[in-house]
Amino acid sequence: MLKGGYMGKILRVNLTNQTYTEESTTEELARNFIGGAGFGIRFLFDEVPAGTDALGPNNKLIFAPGPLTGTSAPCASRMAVVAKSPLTGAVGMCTTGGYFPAELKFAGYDALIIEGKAERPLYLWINDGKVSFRRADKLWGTNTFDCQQLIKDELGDQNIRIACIGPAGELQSKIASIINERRAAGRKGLGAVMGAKNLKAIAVRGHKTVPVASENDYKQARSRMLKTMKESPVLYPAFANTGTPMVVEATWGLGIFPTRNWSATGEWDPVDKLGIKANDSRKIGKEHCYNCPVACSQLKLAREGIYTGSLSVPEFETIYAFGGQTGVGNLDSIIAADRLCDEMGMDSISTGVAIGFAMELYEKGIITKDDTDGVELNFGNHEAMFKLVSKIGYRQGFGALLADGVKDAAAKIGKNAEKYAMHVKGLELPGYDVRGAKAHGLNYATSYTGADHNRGYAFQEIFGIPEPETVDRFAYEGKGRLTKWNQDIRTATCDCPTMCAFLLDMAFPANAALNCADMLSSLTGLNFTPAEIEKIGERVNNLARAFNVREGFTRKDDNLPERILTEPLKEGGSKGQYISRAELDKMLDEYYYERGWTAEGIPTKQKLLDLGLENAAEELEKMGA
Amino acid sequence: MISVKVKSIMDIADIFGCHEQVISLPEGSRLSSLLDVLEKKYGQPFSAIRDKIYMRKEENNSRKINLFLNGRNIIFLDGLETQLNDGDEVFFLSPVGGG
Repeated sequence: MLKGGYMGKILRVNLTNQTYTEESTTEELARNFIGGAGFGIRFLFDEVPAGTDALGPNNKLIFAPGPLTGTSAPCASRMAVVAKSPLTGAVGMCTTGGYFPAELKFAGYDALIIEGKAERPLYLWINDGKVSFRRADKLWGTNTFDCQQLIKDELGDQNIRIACIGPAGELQSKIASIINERRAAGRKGLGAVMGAKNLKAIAVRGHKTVPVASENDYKQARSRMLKTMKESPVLYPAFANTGTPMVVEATWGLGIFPTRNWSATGEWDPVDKLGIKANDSRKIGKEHCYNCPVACSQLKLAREGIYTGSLSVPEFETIYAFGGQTGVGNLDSIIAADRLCDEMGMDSISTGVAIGFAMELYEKGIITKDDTDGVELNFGNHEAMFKLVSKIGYRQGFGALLADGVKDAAAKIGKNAEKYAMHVKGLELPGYDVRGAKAHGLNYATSYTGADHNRGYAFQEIFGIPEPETVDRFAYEGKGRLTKWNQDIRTATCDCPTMCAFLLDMAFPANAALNCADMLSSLTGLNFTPAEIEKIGERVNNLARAFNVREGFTRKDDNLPERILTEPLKEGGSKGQYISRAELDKMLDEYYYERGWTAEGIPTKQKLLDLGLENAAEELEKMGA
Repeated sequence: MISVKVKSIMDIADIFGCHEQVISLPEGSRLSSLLDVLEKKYGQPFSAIRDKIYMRKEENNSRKINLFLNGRNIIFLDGLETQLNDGDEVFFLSPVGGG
């Protein structure tokens, strides 16, 4: 019997039959996987066999908050959303914040597993343990913000929390996201999985309290955590007042703010147009996730031209994707494009990268106005960029070509377009030019979700934080060990418990496992040690890798785009840097060695058994991996 | 004389009044000479910044100001004793987070 942190139940919903069951959250699951991404990846591995159609009824869509979620822990209203990704064919795992994750706990559940496919559009209504299937024919076609409001009105409760898809998810765009409030499980096409199931939304309301095993100990652990947060040199007031856009300036100074589809990084100064002061001039307020004392989300209002009146929260990654990547220095158009992505339910990173990719093809003459619906798609053309966003979301005209990401688009275009497609395993690259930050490059190559900054962010390279060791961002030596550490610590202390990952670099770079063990032990009564926490991170990363190996992924997929491997940066703070094929191979060798995997990147039987993953060991042995 | 490009962000850019400038120094100058020139130019506000620069790997310092010369953190060079050359680029990275 779990004493705290867990509601004790996992809700399993079958859309085909419109039935649901409740299962117990077991101590074995809690102790070995904590929650969040750990739960989601465990269910995915056990229940979604190799070769499953990601957009078919047999894929599963799992929503999993963690034990900390919904408690008094700061910054813990996070939730993992997991499915086989239609964009990559690998594990699709995103985390999202806001209020929905806490509400799912209050409704009585540690996880929600969606199976099957509804015959016609519907939405789920989970009300304090009661589940109903409601028709969504009238909601089909609505944007995500209107959808949330219409459901609240229909159910007569403005405090209901809703996760839903927009038109992009309905049309099964492989870059579609799931939106709750103004937050997103943005990447890897999880919105398309939901759309393929004819599931427009999940509405949740609950009034239960998350139990705490030892109230006094938890209170003390929380006090220690808050004290460490207050001592951070960044969290207050800089990050609380500025949010992630400060990274525009840091990456500019380091010469790694990707520019013009990564063809001109270091050659453009975005500080005046897209930096902190420009962002501050559009700021009208802030938003919190549940029980967050930081409130890093900065609400911005576009104030000029056709974008006037658009309201959004463009994070650094969005400013990169619609700014640097497309060569656009018009912040109002970026705010408007971000808003549109949220309304359409579409990943702003993948959308911006796809547009920048198309711009380079246009400038190189690989595509022409005949392909782009007559639009002059040059870098820096903010109106063309903005108009293309909704075309992608609605799969209209030229937008349809980009709606499934750059890998698919390049394959359809041919003419060597793949050379300019910035992705790993199909997932578009986030906003750090890895030629000047090589652990970031190795993480993009090896993350179980594809090019994903959130799975193993090398904060040492970007912020100069010397934990767990000092790091030369241009060196490739030692990056295998570092990447394993970054991936495991982030999975263990952020993606599973669940906790906002910003705390890792800003408050707990040196003692994240200790803080996590402190919080989880007093909350759950399970007495985790820091070493056990770190091992859970390793376990989850290995299980995710085993899923991908079972799907046919090998070392050759742990790759980087050709441009990264062959074109040195020409200007800026990382001038002359690139990751040669030989450097990537050496980093991979070191990474696999540190992970205890074979030279082909396959987890060994011994490693999987050491981590208690007998099922995975057996499956990989069976397939002769 | 040599010319060195100095880049900065946030609080340090506010002290400098710009995020990019070029400073002239005598041939053979080291990084410490550049800091002397900046201190003379900007006075006490820069002195306070200077005290927070991360200079040696051995320092137990998680969030000081990181100083880069041509992209490389000076803790991997000769710290403030590192020799400057014409056309070099120096970047002051204030504590930042997020991403």
